[in-house]
Amino acid sequence: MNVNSFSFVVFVAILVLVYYAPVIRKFQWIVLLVASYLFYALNGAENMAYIMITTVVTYLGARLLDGKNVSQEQFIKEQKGVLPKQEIKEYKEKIKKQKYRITLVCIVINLGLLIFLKYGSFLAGNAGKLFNHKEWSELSIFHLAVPLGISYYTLMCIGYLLDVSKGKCRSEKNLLKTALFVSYFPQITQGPIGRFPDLASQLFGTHKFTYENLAYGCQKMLWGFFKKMVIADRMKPMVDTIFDNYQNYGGFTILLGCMYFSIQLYADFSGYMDIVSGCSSMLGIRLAENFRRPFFAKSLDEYWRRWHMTLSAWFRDYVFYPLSISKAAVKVGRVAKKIFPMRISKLAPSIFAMLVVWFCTGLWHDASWRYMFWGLYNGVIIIASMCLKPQFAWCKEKLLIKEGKIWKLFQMLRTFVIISLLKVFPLAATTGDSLAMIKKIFLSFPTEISVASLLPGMGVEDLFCVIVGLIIFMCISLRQEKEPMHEWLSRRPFVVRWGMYMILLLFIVSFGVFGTEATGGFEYAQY
Amino acid sequence: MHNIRKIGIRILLILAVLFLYQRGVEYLYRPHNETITFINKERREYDGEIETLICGTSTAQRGIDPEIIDKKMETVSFNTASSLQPLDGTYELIKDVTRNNPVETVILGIAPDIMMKREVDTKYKSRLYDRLQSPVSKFKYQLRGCSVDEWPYMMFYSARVEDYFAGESIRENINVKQSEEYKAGQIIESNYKAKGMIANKKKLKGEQPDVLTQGESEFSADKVKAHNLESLVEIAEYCSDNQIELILVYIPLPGKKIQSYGDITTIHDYFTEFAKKHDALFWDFNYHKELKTLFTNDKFEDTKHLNRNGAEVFSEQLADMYYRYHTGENIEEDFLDTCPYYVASEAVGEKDE
Repeated sequence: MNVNSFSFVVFVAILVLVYYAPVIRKFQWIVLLVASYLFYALNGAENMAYIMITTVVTYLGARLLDGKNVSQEQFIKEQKGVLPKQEIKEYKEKIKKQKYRITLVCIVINLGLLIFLKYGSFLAGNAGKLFNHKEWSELSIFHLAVPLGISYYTLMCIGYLLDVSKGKCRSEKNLLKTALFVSYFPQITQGPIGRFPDLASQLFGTHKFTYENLAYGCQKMLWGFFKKMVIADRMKPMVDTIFDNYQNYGGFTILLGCMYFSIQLYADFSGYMDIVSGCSSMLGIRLAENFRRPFFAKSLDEYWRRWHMTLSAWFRDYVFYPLSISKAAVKVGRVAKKIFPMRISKLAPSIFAMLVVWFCTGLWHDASWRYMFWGLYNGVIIIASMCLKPQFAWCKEKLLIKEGKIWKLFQMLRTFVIISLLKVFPLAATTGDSLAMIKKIFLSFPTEISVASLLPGMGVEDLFCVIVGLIIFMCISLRQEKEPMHEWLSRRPFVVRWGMYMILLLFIVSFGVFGTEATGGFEYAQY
Repeated sequence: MHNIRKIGIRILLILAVLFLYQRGVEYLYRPHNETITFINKERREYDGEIETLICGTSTAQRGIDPEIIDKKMETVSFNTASSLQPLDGTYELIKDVTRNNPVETVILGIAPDIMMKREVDTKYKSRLYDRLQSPVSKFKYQLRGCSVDEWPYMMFYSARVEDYFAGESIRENINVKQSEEYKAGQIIESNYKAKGMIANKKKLKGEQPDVLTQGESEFSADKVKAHNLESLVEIAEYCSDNQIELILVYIPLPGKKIQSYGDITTIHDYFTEFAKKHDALFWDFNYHKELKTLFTNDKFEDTKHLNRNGAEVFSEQLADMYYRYHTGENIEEDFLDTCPYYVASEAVGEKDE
């Protein structure tokens, strides 16, 4: 059951009715748990065991860690002033080591499952090449189906364990409630990557039906369906035409294809987010925001603070921060001090942590070299812009460039082109193809420009839908930069508000692409 | 309570807008000469009179002429068969027609390939859905035969429009639908007044080896999907409960096709047994004594369907057999124990006519 299907709408409608039934009020979280597992089962029942293992490991780990925190607290409370400070310190160190071991074991199991299922074939293939055992990659054990949403729920669980370990939150005592946190259906397939402290009270609390929640949820879902079914799915054939036959197209068409894909991917992914976040809002649970109009970003760094925000935030909080103050980072800083000028060497620990984060981000997306390149390229560009900041400022001053709307627009376009160029990595089938595309973009110039080279595989109807869709998309995004759309809408008269809803609805009913066979589902569901 | 009223009003508003919009889209985009519109119109004209109902797939739709059956039997029959008609839909269709017609006989053209299909394409389901006239039947079929994701396609004509920018055909539609002749019912489609039958004059040409050898999956009882068999049993039981005579008919296939078909005997045996078990009749015209002489290649439009000429011959035969059966004659004598194309002396080493 895909979230852009009619069956999902029916599923949500039934769930909302059951969820708010007066007799159910106290058991709302159980309804959510059943719905989540049902949703998961409908999307691949054979993979249920993995999510269960992760849930149990996370639950046990969190309980043990919490136990350690509590006993430490109690010990300090009881022994403060009784035992010498040194002994208390030693006790703290002992507990810290125990917590470290527990966390490590849980992370190794959870991450191990992810690595085995998602990266097993890649690792075996490369190890096979290295040790001259090509048959390793053929072993069926490395070709098991990857469970739905494993990349997302694994990160959520690791985040939860680390939060409990650091005492940021208490662990959940009920295994089934932990299971709900891990499997909550709106975020299981493509995120957002939720945090336990934010979600727990919402997931396990009781919610009263409010018209506002329902209306807000419906608005979001409608907008999500529009982005996915009218814009993304209409653009998909054109993007596929270009990248399935990139050998037949010039560099300019490939560059355009990358830009089209950027828009398609944004409409696809953010459309999904709006659908699931709308659905969750109907249930009184607000999910974390995952997008903040990324195409308005003026730098790649800012883009990543606006795109897939929960993933960036996860890597920032659980990888970047700990790594940049780690012993390894300090060593890197010391070495850099000897080689680079002061300003750069001060940045060295951050640069080191950033490279690791971007490498991991690439690897998280897919087990392939091209995604690792993609991650590292992102990192290199951000690091370069960080290091060259004074030089850029100097150039700007010399060229008499003033901060203004035109400069901002230029920065946005520049960022858009950069992120589009980086799309050659996820778009290509192999790393070789990615490199061939880059070569074509920079070396194969167009001799003539025709409609076929600008919009290959695009019919009149598709073009109409995409243009109208993008105009609406742009207008709404500009409005959202100033204030949330639903707030703006709530101030409009009933006729205007409902007129807009109806136009969107009829647009979807008429021009939306129905059926996952035609669209192949969501782009980010593969990660 | 206030919330419920507020939500109720809004749902009604959405439904009203959707309804009006769909009507508008249908007016603009549904071809003024679309066959199904005229078939439904004609069926409504016969409401309360239909005694013999013809169902099944395209072979029945193109092969059985109700007019010929009516002349011979002095009955009123109607052909509701459609391309790749799914059996669960056929069941709903029979109930839909019998709801307001004194149906006495159902002639069901059997299609072995349908029996083995897990799922029929949405397009074909919609052809059956359009033939259902009562909203109850439509809803029941939606629940029973369509996945939830197929509902928008069934309910919203706008989801079926393939080209929203077909300006020429929209103009033509509006012009015709606005004309006085159309409103007075003077503009008709060529199949109107054919009682649901769609015939083609085309003749099967040449050997068409690629078509002939493009073998459908070979029929066997274990390949029959349980839900299809259940639907067929339901049809038989419904007919039996309502004193309706059910005749399963295997419509003739061209000789070339039969020769390439390794499983015609299996099909024959399977349906013979089914008919015996469920108190139905089974007339396999591919076992007809005169098959080779009556249904030569020029009686077919392609390797599956009879053409107009062939349909006339076949319907005559069917009506004659129906008449003789009811007058108590032994019609078993019209059939051989084996398919004429498989009679050993002719089949061995000689596959061409």
